[in-house]
Amino acid sequence: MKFQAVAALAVLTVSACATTQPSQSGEVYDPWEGWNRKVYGFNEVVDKAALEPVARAYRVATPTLFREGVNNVLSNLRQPVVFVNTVLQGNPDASGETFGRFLINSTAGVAGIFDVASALGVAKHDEDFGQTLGVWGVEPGPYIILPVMGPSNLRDFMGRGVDNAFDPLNWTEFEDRDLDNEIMVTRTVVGAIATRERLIETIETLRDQPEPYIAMRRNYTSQRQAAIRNGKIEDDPYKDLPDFDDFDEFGFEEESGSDQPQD
Amino acid sequence: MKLRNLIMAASAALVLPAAALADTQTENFVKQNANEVLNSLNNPDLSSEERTSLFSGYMEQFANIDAVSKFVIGKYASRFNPDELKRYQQAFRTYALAVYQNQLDAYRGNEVVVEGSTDRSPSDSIVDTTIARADGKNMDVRWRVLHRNGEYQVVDVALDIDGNLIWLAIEQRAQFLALLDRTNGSADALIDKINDMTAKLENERR
Repeated sequence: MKFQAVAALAVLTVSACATTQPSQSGEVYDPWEGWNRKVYGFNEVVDKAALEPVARAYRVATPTLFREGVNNVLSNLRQPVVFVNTVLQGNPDASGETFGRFLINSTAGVAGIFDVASALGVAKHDEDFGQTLGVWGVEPGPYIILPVMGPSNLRDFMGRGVDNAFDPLNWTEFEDRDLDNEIMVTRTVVGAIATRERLIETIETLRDQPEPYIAMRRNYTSQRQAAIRNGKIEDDPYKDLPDFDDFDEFGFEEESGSDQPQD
Repeated sequence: MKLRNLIMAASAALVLPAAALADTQTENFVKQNANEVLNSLNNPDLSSEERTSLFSGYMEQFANIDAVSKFVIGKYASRFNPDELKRYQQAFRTYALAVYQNQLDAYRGNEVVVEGSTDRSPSDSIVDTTIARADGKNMDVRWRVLHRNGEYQVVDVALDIDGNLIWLAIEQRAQFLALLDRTNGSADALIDKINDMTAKLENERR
């Protein structure tokens, strides 16, 4: 359930404006909720009409090993972007492991089809420029739902653009200019189908929730915060827990003049 | 100065064992009850109905479902009329037990190991446990325990998903409140949704 080219200067400028917005776990700044809900509804229509049927057909028509190979190739193609971001985050261990993974899987793994590096115990990292900005202290800014691409926030949306600029496949030019376009289109289409296939059960669960929009917003935001911490639990995970004292069987007292905390 | 140090040392000696004792008692409460709950799901001699009944009985003692049911609807707990609140709490109790049973069923028969605890206040603690999963990995499960009137009761459970602590009651609360806000506080809309979710959970049960 996870889920463009913009200048780096714009990232820093907009993010500077966003630094006053709430970012701690459990709170999501969603000033464009009305618009976002419309895009969410649009995405649901597109997904049910096109993406989901294609993803299900892909699952039925292909063996698991084939799909793993596709996922491995797509992941391997992303390793240069991951590598640059580990460098920008000042994480030399992750940089070395990512560089090693790319070398091993591109050669012994036959252009990334087989994940030999994981079999050898080389750790896998998943970093992007949105996370890098988060490591640098940039706040997420407003929550956004992007058409077709799904949940994001201003920081991560800007990060996508920068990641595209980091991606060698986007600036390598082949003699045959049509080949450039074919590579880009193929990678985008295959990537979308493979990602949607992996999310079949997750999106089913999401749709069963009382409020799928809220569930996705909370889930995306907290997952991204955890990714910025590289999967470590925050230092004081209990500081923002709500009090239960007002809600027990001995009576309920709402705080005067206050609504429920925003998710 | 010596007298002051002596008083401080004596105070610390009096306070520290009490705090440590409170932690140990809370941890033991979770360890004993969580293991009983998981074992109740692992008795092959019981039918599905008997297993659910036994599990529900343990959970009723282990968790304060009334407190949770009010917590997850926030301000609407005082806006529902008594009949709506009663019907909602009945629906929620069935739903909550189904959620816990389905969530914990993945760990049935495995031992709950207490890793430590944190006191948010003298009556509000988090107990950190690990439970072995079938795939060999350990799942980090955290139990929020309130100490009231001499009794301990769990009010929320968190799962650590890749560094992201997901508290079940807090997630329910965010969504229930959004649904109630969207339906002008309709208890029936919430109850219908809860019943739908319960039916789906019960269908998924082994």
